[in-house]
Amino acid sequence: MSSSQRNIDKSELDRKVNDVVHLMLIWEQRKIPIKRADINKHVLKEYRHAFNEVMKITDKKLQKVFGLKLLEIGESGKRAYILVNMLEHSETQQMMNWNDNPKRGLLFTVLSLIFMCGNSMTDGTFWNALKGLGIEKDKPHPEFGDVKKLITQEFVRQWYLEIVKLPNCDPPQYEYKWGLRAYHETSKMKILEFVTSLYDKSSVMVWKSQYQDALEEQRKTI
Amino acid sequence: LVSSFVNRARQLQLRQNYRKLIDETQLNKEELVKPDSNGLMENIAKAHQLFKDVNETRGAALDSKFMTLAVTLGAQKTNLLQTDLVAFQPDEFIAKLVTCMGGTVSEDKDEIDIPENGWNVLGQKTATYFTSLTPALHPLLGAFEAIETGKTNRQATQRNKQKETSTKVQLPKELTNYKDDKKEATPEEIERVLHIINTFYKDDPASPIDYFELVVNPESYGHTIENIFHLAFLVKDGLVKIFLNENGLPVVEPVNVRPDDISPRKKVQVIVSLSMDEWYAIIDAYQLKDSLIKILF
Repeated sequence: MSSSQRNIDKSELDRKVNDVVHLMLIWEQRKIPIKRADINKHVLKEYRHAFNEVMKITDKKLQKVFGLKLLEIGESGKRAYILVNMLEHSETQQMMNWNDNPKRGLLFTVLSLIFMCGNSMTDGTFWNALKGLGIEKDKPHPEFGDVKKLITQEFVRQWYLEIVKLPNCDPPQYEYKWGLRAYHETSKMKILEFVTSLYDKSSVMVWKSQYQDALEEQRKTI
Repeated sequence: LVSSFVNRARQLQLRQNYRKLIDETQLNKEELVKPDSNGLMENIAKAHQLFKDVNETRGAALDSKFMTLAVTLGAQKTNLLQTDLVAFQPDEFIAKLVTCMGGTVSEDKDEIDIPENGWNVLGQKTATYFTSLTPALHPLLGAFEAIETGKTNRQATQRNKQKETSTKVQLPKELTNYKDDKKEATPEEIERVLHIINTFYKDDPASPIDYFELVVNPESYGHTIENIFHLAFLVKDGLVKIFLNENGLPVVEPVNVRPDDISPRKKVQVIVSLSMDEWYAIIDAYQLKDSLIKILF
């Protein structure tokens, strides 16, 4: 009997599902999207033919027990899973002492800059702007250390940012854009709300083009 | 008709001027893209002047290079032009963030002082603007062996995994490396270099290619040495010849391009050496930015 025809029995299935749930929760620490191959390698192993079945139940468990949803993002060749919080944040979220507050602050700054500048920035303009925060591309930062590595490698590996090389540029120039994960963990409208409150403006609508952009995105996700 | 020698000198000067203009534009690009700067238009006018006297392909190629750069900067400049009710200026946004973190900026914008807790404060304030924040779980007693866990555990298991797999994998690994090494010195690679030389020479048949411009890869010393090595094979096989030009610089030219050249082929043995310091010096002197012979992988 070939392995693909082997039926996985209930208790074994349960065990595998629990393992995957554990794996996902722990993998989330790094914030790096997990690929199907990773799940197969670390947990499913000889039961990889039951992948779809396992993932369906895993998703249900994550939702029911932890309030987290399993999301598959990316196009073919680059698909991976991330966890998304199903519960609308409340005031308690604000009060919680999250582990990576400084990094989150930097990430939010970066995402805001990119969106408000028309969804992309060239690396020159990008790093020039960050100088105003005391961040130099090639100098170690007292809070973040190697900022260049944090932004161009870690954030990219976590799919928060996407850095694309522009064609026909010599010396090479890069474009900084939002990564797929960013679209799922925040929204253009949210960024606009933040910026509006920061500038103490009356309404998000004063940012004409960005507002239109954010509206478009809202329409698409509904 | 201007004599060939005077023209060559003039063209060289034009190329130098182009290179200077391109470098200058590159250096100042942050200033040039600002909406209130006229610098880009001025530089384009300069290039236009230079182009009037260009009559050979290398000068024209440099002109294209400049125009590509100018166009890219022009596009960036347009992007920065705002026609909103409230224009978004990154500098203004950043300044407000500094205030939000409880920091200060000096008068001349040189000193930016952000308190130690500043980034933490910003992180807390922006937490509500995330639609989804997932708490990462840290198991009290650590995860199972088979699963990657937090930082320290992961490093330990990975190190162990590496140790036990390295002995198994060593044998197959050796074989594949051997195969790759062979690839570098194969006739195909040498053929590719010859093809590049021929293509380049076809573009500009009047002048042989400068030896160092050809072999030096400013991004890899190793690859530069490989190029010298491959070129040596081509010379040995009589497909390409190297000689000193009127300036005393070594130049490369494919053989049998000129049908009226019946000079007997001299076979001379020369040893070429290039230290890493010399390599740096050449990159500096020629202002090389990328290599003529591109790395394959």
